[in-house]
Amino acid sequence: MESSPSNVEAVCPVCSSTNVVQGEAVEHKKCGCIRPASEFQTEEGTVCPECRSHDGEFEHIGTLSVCSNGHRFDEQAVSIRQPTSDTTPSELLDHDSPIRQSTSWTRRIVTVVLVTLIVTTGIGGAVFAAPYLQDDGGGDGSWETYQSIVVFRNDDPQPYYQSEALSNVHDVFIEEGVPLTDAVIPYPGNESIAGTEFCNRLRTQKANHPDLIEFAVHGYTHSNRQPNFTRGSEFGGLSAEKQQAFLRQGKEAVHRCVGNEPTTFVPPRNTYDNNTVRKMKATGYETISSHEWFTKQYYNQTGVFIQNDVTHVPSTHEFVEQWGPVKLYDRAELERRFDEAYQNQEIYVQTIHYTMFNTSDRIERLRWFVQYTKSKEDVKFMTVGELGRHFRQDTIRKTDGGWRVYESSNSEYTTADRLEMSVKGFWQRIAVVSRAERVMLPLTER
Amino acid sequence: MIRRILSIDWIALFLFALAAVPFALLMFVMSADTVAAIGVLFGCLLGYVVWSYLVVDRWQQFSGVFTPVGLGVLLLLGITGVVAVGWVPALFTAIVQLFALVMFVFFYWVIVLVAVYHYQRDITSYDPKPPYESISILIPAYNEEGYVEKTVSGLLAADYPDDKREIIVIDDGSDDGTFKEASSIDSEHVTAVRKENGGKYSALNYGLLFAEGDIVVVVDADSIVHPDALKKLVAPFDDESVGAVAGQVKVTNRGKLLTDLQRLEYIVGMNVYRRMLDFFGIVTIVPGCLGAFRRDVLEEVSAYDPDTLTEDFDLTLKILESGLTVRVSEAQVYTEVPDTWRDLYNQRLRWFRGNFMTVFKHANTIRKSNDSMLGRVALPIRLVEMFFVPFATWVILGVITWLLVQGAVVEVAALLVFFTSIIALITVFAIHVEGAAWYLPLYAPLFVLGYKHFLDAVMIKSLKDIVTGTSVEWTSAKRVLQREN
Repeated sequence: MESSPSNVEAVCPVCSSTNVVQGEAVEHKKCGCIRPASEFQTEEGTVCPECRSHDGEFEHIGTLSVCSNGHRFDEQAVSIRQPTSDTTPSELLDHDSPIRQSTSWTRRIVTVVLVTLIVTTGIGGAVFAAPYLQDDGGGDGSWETYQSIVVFRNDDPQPYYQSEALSNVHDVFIEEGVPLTDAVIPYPGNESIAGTEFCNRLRTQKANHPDLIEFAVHGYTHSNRQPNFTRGSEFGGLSAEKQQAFLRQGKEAVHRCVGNEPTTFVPPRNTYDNNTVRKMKATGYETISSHEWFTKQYYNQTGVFIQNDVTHVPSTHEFVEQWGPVKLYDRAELERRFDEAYQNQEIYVQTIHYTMFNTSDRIERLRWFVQYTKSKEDVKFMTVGELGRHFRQDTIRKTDGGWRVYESSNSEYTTADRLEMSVKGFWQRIAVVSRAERVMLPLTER
Repeated sequence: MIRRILSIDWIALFLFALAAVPFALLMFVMSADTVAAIGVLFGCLLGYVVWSYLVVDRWQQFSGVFTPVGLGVLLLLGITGVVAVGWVPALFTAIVQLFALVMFVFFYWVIVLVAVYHYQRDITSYDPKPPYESISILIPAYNEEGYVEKTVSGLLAADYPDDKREIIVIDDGSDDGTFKEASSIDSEHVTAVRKENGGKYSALNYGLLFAEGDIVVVVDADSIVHPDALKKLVAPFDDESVGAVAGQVKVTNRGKLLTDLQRLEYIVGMNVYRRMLDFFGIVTIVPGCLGAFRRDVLEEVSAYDPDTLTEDFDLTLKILESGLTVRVSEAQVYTEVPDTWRDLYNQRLRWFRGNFMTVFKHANTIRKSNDSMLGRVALPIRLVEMFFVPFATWVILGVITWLLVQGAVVEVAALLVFFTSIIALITVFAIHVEGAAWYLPLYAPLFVLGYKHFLDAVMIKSLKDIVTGTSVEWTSAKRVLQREN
């Protein structure tokens, strides 16, 4: 560091005064105050003029000279001066125009085109799968022929009751890749299912397998009963207004539970009446599924049919042979009944009740049966809703050769459904991540 | 009326409004429950901001009602509520996603909206006119040989009355030729002083000893000011309520991916977020590369303190806490940004560590300043940015990675395109306002994935360092010129 020789008089660079006093600058390290050393000296000793504390370190950090006019300067500054270099580099100023400079029309056009491109890309990204998604029955599908149509309907899923059995049943169908309709009770015990942990599990299943699992509404509480109606019915015999209220509330509860709007209704005890069907239509349902014994009795109909603008898909077979005590059909009988329907090219709608499958033996029997139905050639599996949709849209026809079904490359869902599910699926998949056991699921064999 | 209509920048308005399309699509494909949940929480935030504005502007007697703490409680209740009714799964990742979405919506439809309005009203456009205040320009320098002379030359060439300008270069104990370079400048308006090395805050406080102007301007030793910067910088001080003024920072080194990313980051930051803050007069950082302060205000708040690494942030908050406003001007300064990832890491580590230190130091402001937009809005937003967003970013990245592993490529791609398009719109708006290069918005995807995660990772590390008491010291980037030499 250069300093002026001791015999050179200090001159103030501001006013040229030669009356200059040299001193030290002191910093109080605790608060950062920097002042001439003289300002720290008090009667009580060294005190910071800023924070009034004498704690902490006081450090001499530099030398400053003060002239009689109060100008401060550093004598150590080298006295030899050189001319300054060029002014502000002009090339830096050419790149950017000042704020709010008038914008050329070229720039405006480029702006609009660029932005439109960006947003179009955004929109296009959201619907880029559109060529693969067709609304029902349209476009690039083909007619396929099947020997038999098979539907599995699982009645009574509800929270807080044998959830492990429900998981076991779902696992069977998911692992076998066979569609299943879950007929969910919306208000068991008069409490809505929305917001329960049960719903999280259902949403997860739906998110992971949107084309395999359908959720239907199974009555209202499932315990109300009109005793005067056939076998005691929750809906049959009830006033139309009450039925409509139950149908609407049940739909909302299941919708909020699983995140998708259900369009299939499964009446408890397989019984209902014309008011049920009329009010179903008014509340947005499309398909009803009871049992053939009832539709034969009430409508003199068996098989799938359309009445009052609603598609009726009655169940044809039960898994339970007797209810008290519970006894399931044995394998031989299950095999015989299915073979019969298969040979006759029938629509086979199998009802199961998940609560029955609470032992490993029964689960294995279910799995065996599902695999048996899969082992047959030309079997088409559907959910209840899907079958109903085909009938409404006339994309399924019975022929001598079997059942002709129009199949497009998309699933049963519309473009809007698909988009909706893709993002809802995002949410449900997020839910999956939070569960350690589910995170491991794809990596392990079950 | 017609003149007002003609003065509107319709392109900027169009750019802003265009985001309604991707937002509407996003809402359309989401379930009604999710939209409702977002709506509830967004409504809470919006209501709070509107209430805060009214309280600060005219109803100070109600400042104790619906405070930031109250907002926190309300949001907690809101989240609990939407989970309880089943709109959102009761899962950590889902709640993080929900809150991140809400903040995203809030950022665009409140912060960006205010910025657009601020731009349309031309609020930063001050008209500098005589008489001009006397200014003392402090240039703290540590090992800035090769830079300081250019900086001083630019300041001498800037348009300002010579008799009202003095430039003081403070050499903070450099071990190169910085002091010699500064001392050699042949101008009566330039003073070079030298002290023992003590840090930037110390150099600035030392420089104040020699400053005689009514306005103190600080400039970094590696920055070049625009010729009209000084006049524009002091113009806002015509308003007596203004305590400090921030300049606009522009990046000089360009052409590399990393420098272009930072350039875009600065452009968006200054033309969106800072405009919102300026609208309320609560710009929270007067940058060290170009800022101005009233001399008496500096003395009143005891200038720079030694207890943070970001003395500029700390000082600005002290000025705001004193009741004065801090504004943005149109004064421009050109500076270098780090051009290697290591240098950028060092720079941001210091910034973020300093930010946490400063926020902890001023935590009381949030608790007590219920009658200012600083305590009610600016600092809580800062807290969310610093304590929530970095973690949320990485949580969401983990979820996205998991979804890709599961095969949900379509869903991930669609969502990324949505968010990228909105970020791109914001960058295009900022570019349009700035008048900068049009290729920069192409980097928008990296602000959704990549660059953002790098910055957030550094932020998380900084928080960890501060919380665990890791020894923190000044980490700086090596200058391009010095690296080449």
